[in-house]
Amino acid sequence: MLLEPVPAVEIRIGAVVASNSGHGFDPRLVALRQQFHSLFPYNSYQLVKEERKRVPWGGKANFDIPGGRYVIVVPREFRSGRIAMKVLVIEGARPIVDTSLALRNHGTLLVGGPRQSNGVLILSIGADTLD
Amino acid sequence: MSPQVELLSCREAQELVPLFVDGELDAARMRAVALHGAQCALCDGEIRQLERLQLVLRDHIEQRLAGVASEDLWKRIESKLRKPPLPWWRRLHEAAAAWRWQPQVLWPAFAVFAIAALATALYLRTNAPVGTTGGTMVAGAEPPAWIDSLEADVGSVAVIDDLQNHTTVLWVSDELPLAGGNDR
Repeated sequence: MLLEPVPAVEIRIGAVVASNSGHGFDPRLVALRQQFHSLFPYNSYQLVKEERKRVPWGGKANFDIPGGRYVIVVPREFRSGRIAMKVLVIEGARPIVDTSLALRNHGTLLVGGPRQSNGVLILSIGADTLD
Repeated sequence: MSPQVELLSCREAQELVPLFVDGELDAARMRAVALHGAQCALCDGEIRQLERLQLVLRDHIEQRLAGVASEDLWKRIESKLRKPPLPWWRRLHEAAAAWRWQPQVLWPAFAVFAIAALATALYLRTNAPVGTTGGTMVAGAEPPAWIDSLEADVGSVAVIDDLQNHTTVLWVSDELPLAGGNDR
């Protein structure tokens, strides 16, 4: 019998709807306030989903996100302080992002642009190694 | 757009499971297998079992590699390698020595050649276009994410590094409503 694999990485996903209807900044997004205000021209940022999953290297973290979209993150390996991983964002049957990247440990990647309600969806994808 | 989700039978899903575990399927099929796995305990079990097997195999290989005495291995490889040829000036010098002739007259000529080569290298280095090497480096700082490959089935994609806030942004849209950042 095979042993259960030990989780090695925690994948963090946050789904944010950004729009110009209203002026609210979700207090749970405080860590991203500076990035949002310097990068995007929206007045309102609301966190609509937040989820964390612990997976082993090579394991898959799957997340359902608003708008019938789906995210798959596969952390591959840790090298030079970075987490090499594959990130897939799928809308229906269409891959809107299919990327392989090396993200700094504890770093954050933002994937934005898909239309959502009166604004756009911004995904924050983070990864932390588990010691 | 209406989402078109490919529904797989257990047989179809199980045929794709090895490719799914290796991450070799296209995005649509990745999703189809993942969705099937979420609804079918049998196929989900098969996916997890293959993932575990893959991890055990990888651990085993890593342990075996760690057990190899790399220093001895390198010495053995080195002994099998051909010695690199001597540079032309060393060969000339040795040939001259063998003929009991000292080529002092050649050294000034060699020095002139060496200075010319060095000057050419410095000229090329300093005249290289800034920012063309490495592709994603901006102002000497490292972007938070190195993008190895990127495909997107959308009108346009922008990759923005916010070096100040250690954040990389992938913006997928037909519009680019961005206010700042260092666009790659």
